Amino acid sequence: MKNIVEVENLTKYYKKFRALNSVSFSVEEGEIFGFLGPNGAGKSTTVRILNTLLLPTSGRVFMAGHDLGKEPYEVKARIGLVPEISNPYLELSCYENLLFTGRLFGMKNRDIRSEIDNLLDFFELESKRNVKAEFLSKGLRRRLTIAMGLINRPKLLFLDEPVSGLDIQSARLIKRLIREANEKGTTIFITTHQLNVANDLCDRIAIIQDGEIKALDSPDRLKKAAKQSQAVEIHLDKLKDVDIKELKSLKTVERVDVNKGKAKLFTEHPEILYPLLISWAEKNNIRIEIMNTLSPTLEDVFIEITGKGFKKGPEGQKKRHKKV
Amino acid sequence: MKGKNILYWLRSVMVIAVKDIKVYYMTPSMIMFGFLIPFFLFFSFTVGRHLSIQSSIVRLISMTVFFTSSSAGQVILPMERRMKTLDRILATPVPLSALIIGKSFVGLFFGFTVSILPVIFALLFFKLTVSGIGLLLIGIFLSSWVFSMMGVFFSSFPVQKPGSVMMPSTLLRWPLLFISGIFIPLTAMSPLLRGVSYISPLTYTVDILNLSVTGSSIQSLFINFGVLIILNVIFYIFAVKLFIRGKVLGY
Ligand SMILES: Nc1ncnc2c1ncn2[C@@H]1O[C@H](COP(=O)(O)OP(=O)(O)O)[C@@H](O)[C@H]1O
Ligand SMILES: [Mg+2]
Repeated sequence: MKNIVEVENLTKYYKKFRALNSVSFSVEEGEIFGFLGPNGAGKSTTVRILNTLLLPTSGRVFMAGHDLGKEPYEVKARIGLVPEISNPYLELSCYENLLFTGRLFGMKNRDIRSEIDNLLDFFELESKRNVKAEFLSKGLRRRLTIAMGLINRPKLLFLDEPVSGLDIQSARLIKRLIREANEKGTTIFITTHQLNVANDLCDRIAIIQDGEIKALDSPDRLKKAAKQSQAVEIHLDKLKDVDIKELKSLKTVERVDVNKGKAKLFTEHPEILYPLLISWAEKNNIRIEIMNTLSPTLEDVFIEITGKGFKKGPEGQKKRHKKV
Repeated sequence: MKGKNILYWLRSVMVIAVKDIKVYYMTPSMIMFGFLIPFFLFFSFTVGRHLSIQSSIVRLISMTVFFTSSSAGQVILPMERRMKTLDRILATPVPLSALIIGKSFVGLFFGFTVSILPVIFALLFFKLTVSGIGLLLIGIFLSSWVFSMMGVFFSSFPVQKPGSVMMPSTLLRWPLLFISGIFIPLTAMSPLLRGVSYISPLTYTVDILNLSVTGSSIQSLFINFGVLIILNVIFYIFAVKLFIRGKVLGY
């Protein structure tokens, strides 16, 4: 397989702060490659460098057969970008936004028009052709932004947090469209902090944290780690009197965390554990007030894979690094 | 550059300028800084002072050329940074030079248009006579471009909050206005004040306008045009440098 992206020892300092630390990876032609990591890991920094919006402190990037540092225009003509924040011109209609973007790439008007027809159709935006972006919902605006990223028929499309902040339906539709665009031959580079996005879409996933790639894998390992991080959480009326060892000895339970009247039982098979838990409670005359299945969090999976949690503790994932 | 690349460059400049002209001409800050302020200043410093129609028109044009042209960049660039639309342009193969010159054409267009209209109006209804209409048009064109580039340069400073360049650069424009020869003729100034007035680019514009309207000037045209052209190039070079600095800082 040919590599469409090759990144060697990419390092980025913002003044004194190191956001990327000698990152190296490659993306194969035709695949969906993902960067998975918590907020502030350095995902957007990488994407912005690869799209020349940001100059790296050191390192080399080859894309679509050219050295980005030496022939940026050759590279830029062949790639597309969907930034973290949807950025159509709000004052322009869908059609005008696509037309403007096509012209920036130096495409012929005739080619732009036929490509616009294709894209509006593909992204189910035909009925919004002449509607200003200002009046589009968040999901529609996202779709328009992705369409704008594809107007020059790029070999490689960058999607920075493609479905972050969208409702489930919009997210599902966009994921399907990304997959279809990939099937038509566009290589895709995704960044996300959402485990399910990486799992659902990517052929290969790089796990990035604190500006370093911690692991590079197919989603299988991630899925396995995710599976191992599933848990059943129970609220008990008299947790204090319960022997935690007993809980641990229940079949399929791997680990138990107790915290504020709640017990978290890690298991790969919640469906087996449920009935066991219920009969255990009956036998010991304990009332289970609430019982939940917890889907794995990114942090749980990180612990599973890298053996370490996020630096800032359980809040790390939620902590937003504001940048203007 | 190959022939194809020059065409692409020119087309990019036009695509960027035309889009901005369409999108921004009716924005409130454009109307405020580009139209209301110059006319307001003109009326407060001119009306009731028994100025000839010729001196009045020179004042008005200096005002519009200065404010209207320099406002465009300062409205458009922070807005495009805030909405992240600038990133889209920067991610395409459009060269930085085409982006900056395209942006400077927006202020040029508005400055030129807004300045020409009162001239036509005065020619038709106030019996204005000018001694060199060609020179007047060239003077307005070049001045509009220089001040537009100045606005682009001011708003190219990479700052965390894109709106925050608006205030300081607006403030900076006032002294440049007042030390120019626009309100007091250079001939009436003390030697010291006159020396200071040469700092303001507007001084050279006023001199060109005076020559083309009234037929008299202080410096040679060569100096006036020379200074304006050199300033234009300097503003452009610094705007490019600031953009590249922004790519290092990340905003
Ligand atoms: N322009 C900037 N100046 C200073 N620090 C920045 C800038 N942009 C991002 N950072 C910091 O760099 C780190 C990586 O940011 P980013 O690449 O946006 O992370 P991600 O996209 O993975 O959430 C964060 O700690 C962030 O606060
Ligand atoms: Mg990000």
